[in-house]
Amino acid sequence: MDNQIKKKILLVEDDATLSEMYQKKFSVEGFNILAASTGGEGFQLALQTRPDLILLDILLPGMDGMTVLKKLRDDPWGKDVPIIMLTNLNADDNILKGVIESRPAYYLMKSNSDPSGVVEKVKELLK
Amino acid sequence: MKIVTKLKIFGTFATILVIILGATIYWRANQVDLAIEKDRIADSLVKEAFVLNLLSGDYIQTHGERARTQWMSQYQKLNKSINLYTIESPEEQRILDKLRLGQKAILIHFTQLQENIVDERLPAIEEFERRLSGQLSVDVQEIVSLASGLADINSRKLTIVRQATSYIMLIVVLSLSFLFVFSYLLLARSISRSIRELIDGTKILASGNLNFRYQVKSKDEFGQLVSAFNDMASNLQKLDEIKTEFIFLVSHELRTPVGAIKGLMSMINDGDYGDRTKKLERPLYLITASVDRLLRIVNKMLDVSRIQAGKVILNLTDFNIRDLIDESISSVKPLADEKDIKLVVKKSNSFTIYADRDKVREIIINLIENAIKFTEKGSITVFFEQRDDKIITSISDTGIGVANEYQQKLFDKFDEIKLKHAGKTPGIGLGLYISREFARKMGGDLWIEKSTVGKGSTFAFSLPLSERKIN
Repeated sequence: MDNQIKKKILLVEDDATLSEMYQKKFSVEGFNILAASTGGEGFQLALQTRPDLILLDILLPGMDGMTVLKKLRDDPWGKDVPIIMLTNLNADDNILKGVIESRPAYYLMKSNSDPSGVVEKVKELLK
Repeated sequence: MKIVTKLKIFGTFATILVIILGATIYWRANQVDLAIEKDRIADSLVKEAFVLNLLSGDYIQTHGERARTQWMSQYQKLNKSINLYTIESPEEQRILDKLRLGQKAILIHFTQLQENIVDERLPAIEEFERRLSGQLSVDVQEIVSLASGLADINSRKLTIVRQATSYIMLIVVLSLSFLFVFSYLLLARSISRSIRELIDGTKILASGNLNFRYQVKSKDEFGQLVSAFNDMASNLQKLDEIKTEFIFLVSHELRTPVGAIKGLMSMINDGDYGDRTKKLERPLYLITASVDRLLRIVNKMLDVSRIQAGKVILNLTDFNIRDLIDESISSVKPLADEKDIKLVVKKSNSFTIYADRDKVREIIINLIENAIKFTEKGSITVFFEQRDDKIITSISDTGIGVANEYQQKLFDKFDEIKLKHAGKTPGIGLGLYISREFARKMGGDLWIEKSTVGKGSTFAFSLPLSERKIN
């Protein structure tokens, strides 16, 4: 990946430890990682920087992840960007409905997926 | 109506019944007593009249002073008896009137007879005396006859009064007994029915159905009691909901830091933070194992709170059970290897089932982990087969086994046998409860197939065969 242009990943995660952990992991794996800690900040940063992929938490201060997802899908650029939902929430009926409508690429449980597993999914989507 | 009011009414009613019974006994005893007394007076009247008849004959024969005195004395006795007699009927009045007339007549005849008795025995005087004597005898016999008539009347009346008393007492005792028993049964039924309803409701609540509530139909003590019962059930349900919510929130909150530790550990193990020293390998392995265990506990607590809140979400798909068993076995194999326990999957046909793959994996892993936990040596065998439209998967071990009396308790949450093991074995005793609930939610079940203490156990669960497979 060193020989190629680094792929840009946007991480929207409010937990500082997890955010730091994923930033470290993606840096080590050769990605250019940007981080936002609120839904609003994440949405703005996504439109401004147009990352290759977005890792999006659901429970966020201010605008929640499902709203960010929906707003991105309404945007001409955002409608096709690969998005991985990274959360600790088990998908209930409302989340499932939003997930089906807004087509994220993956819905991953943070506690069940170790960082290398998340990196693998990202690499798979960016092939 | 309040129970205390019902009891008061019953008490008053029973007292009235006792008073009626007492009054009836007193009334009838009095009637019989009066009839006996009158019968006795009538009998004595007959006796006095009869004795007077004898004394009249004696006087007619002897004309002696002794006979005269005796006659007069007996006459007084007869007079006294007639005066004592109380009249109750026109017939008695008529007889008594005749008796009084007869009484006057005999006194006149007796007086005339006395005056006519002189020493000179002239034929005319003797003739007159004979006529007077005859008249006296006839009159006295008439009195005897009238007195006997009165005695007959009273004797008959006594019999009637006695019979009437027997019938009245029988009717009164039967009626009062019936009323007493009927009102007692009515009272007992109304109280016992409420108690039975309360017992049934308490059993339902005790069995874990916290949604159960009574309809409050009355304002009596039972109405107040069931109202308090409903409040108690509501509070219990609220507490249970708070507990479930609390477990959910705590478990959910725990997931983030635990996930972070797990992620960071995997990054350290991957070398993302540089090379690990040899010395750190063992503690890092132990931290990873502990975090995995903590995460399993947190996930189980979340499962329990979802089951209790009725929020289990199933993602049902068709998949091959054999593949899932192999996959699950590979994740628990390190645990079995540590104890040198062999894991064997018996050969069987391939089956496609319709269920939630993740949840079935959780069931299989739970059962195999339990088997490993309670087996010291030997093997664990997994076997699956088709029974009707279900696939039965059995997991047999050569472990400690479960005594009959504890077998059903194993499926309770946090039960005491599990708590006894809690300090000695990893886990918090939720696995079997969660596994059975999941199996049931997916249209199957989970049970102990057999278990012998010291020899081992076989746990089994059923899941529906894929419809495509059935068709």
